[in-house]
Amino acid sequence: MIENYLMHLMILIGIYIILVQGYNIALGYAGLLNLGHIAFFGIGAYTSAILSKMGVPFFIGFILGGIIAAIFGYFLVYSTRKLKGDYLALATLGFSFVFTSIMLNWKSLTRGPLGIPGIMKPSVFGVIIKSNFEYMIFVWIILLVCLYIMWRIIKSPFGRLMEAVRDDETGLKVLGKNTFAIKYKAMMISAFFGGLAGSLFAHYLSYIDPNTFYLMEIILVLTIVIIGGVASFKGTIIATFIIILIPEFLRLLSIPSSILGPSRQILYSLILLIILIYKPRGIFGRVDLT
Amino acid sequence: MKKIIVILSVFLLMVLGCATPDTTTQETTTIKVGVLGPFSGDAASYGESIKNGIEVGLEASGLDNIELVIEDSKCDGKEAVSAVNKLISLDGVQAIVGGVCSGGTLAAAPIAEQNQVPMVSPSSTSPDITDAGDYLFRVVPSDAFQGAFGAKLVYDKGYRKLGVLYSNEDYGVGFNKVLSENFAELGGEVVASEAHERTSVDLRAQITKVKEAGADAVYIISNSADSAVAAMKQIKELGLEVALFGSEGLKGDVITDNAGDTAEGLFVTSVSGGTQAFIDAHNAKFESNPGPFAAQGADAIQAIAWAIKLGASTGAEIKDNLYKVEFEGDSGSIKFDENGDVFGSYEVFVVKDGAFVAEE
Repeated sequence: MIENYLMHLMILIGIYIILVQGYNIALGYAGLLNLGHIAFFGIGAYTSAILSKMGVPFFIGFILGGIIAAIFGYFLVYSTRKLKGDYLALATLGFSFVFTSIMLNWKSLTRGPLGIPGIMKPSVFGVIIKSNFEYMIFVWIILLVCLYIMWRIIKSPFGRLMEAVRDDETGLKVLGKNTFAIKYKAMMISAFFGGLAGSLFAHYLSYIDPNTFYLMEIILVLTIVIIGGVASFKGTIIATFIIILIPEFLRLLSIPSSILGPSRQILYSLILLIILIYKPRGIFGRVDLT
Repeated sequence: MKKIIVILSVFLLMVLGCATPDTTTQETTTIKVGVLGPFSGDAASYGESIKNGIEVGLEASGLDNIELVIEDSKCDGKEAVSAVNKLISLDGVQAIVGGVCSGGTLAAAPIAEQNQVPMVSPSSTSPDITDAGDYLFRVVPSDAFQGAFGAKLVYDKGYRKLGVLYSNEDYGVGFNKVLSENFAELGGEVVASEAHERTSVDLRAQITKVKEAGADAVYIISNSADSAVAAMKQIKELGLEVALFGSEGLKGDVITDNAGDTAEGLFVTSVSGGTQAFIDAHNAKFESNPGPFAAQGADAIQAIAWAIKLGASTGAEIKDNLYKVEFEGDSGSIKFDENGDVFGSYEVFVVKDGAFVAEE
């Protein structure tokens, strides 16, 4: 029986690795201090959920979720192209608030705060992926494909250019490179994977509402990247395991029910603080964000 | 790196040391029942109040072979799914009391159904719950019923032009929809219906619109005390001469204490706060009055206890028996229809001299 719970955790971890590794491309490699990533996650989830409710096959909704998120990624970079550092962070944070607000109020499309219940499980070539075991295999196959693609992007000449934008944008401009193009491409790639993760998330949970994609989740993905180490491929993967699993392991502690909620959160933050005190750049960090 | 490994292994040891393996102490007759609700985050007070109610209800049921396993869902879909998976596969619960917030309940229900574990919610009032599967029950009536009840109350008091101020969340939107439809059906007119964010404390823009629309009664649908108090004060401030009606979230001493005389004459529709016997039992055990939905928590566990008394021991059997259960609960008479809903009863309270008085 315990397998079911562990498989559930592996599904969550798989989805979050896609989400956070995508985030790491914009935040870590291209140095875009983006706090709007969770909106891409939500755009993918809502696109895929609404399309599947209309009877569109899963894979079309899945890919469209990624593509629409990527289009919004372009607009986000375009509208914030003059901003840097803290200002960019604030503007992108605003983007995720706007997203939540639209999802809350565009009731004819999203049912507003009522959320979308009963999202069907995906069906692949006529086979419906139903049990936790099947979904876990499904998510991890998609994860491996995504990780391979992201790895190739990061190691390509374009990947080097992204890192150059992060480390010395002016220097790159002097060499005649179009840094704006590099930035929006990086953000679009990042948003695309965020959207894919959102689609997998919506079909797994079967219920989404606007609050699923709000402040707490932004903090969660940012924490994973920072704990893993900014611009570290394996760090992000390992940190996802740590950050998702710690609160779940804390469920196993027999804490009296009266202090159960708060004491788990205290322990959770304590562990995060300890990691950051001993490893200020994260577990595998090699760069500092300014 | 070494230090991290040391810290992590110490932590792991701590977890393993504290975890109680269920194989060693389990008796054959014990039936585990999960409690799924928010115990951290901004809805934690509901989780706490319902948990107390459940403990009172469990004692009253007279069964001593039920063991409660409490798990935190934070009122969030993802957390609720994690929690329900843990309750079912790790603790092996046969039934669950919960979830508390409709969002978490809707996300957890398919997993409970897949594993044949019935869920009895004490407080999820979303109309969507009705169609969310065979294994999902609730002892609290759907918002669909309270909206209809509220509409009739306003109409019977002789008001025909209603303005609605509702909080923009699943609860408020669902309530407002049913209220407006029913009020129109009765022959009244909803002249304005304005949404506000859940915790918003400046509703002057919305109230101005209601005033311009010429309403003679205002219905405040809110689960946030701050927001409701602000609404009543600002209605006075902007000079509206209207009758005030409120959803159950407005019934509490925190409202009368803070709103002062602006709350005078406010009508509140509310699900039952519990019978006098329940209130006394709660006072004896916790030395405090029951909080919101505590009586419903007690009824949820008692419904499960009744199903067990009818001879069920596995989740599927408990589910089958729940459809047969019929008893006089702490919050009203409990009998599930084919969707797992109860019809439920409401009470009306009115504020007189700064205190809630039950209205006949």
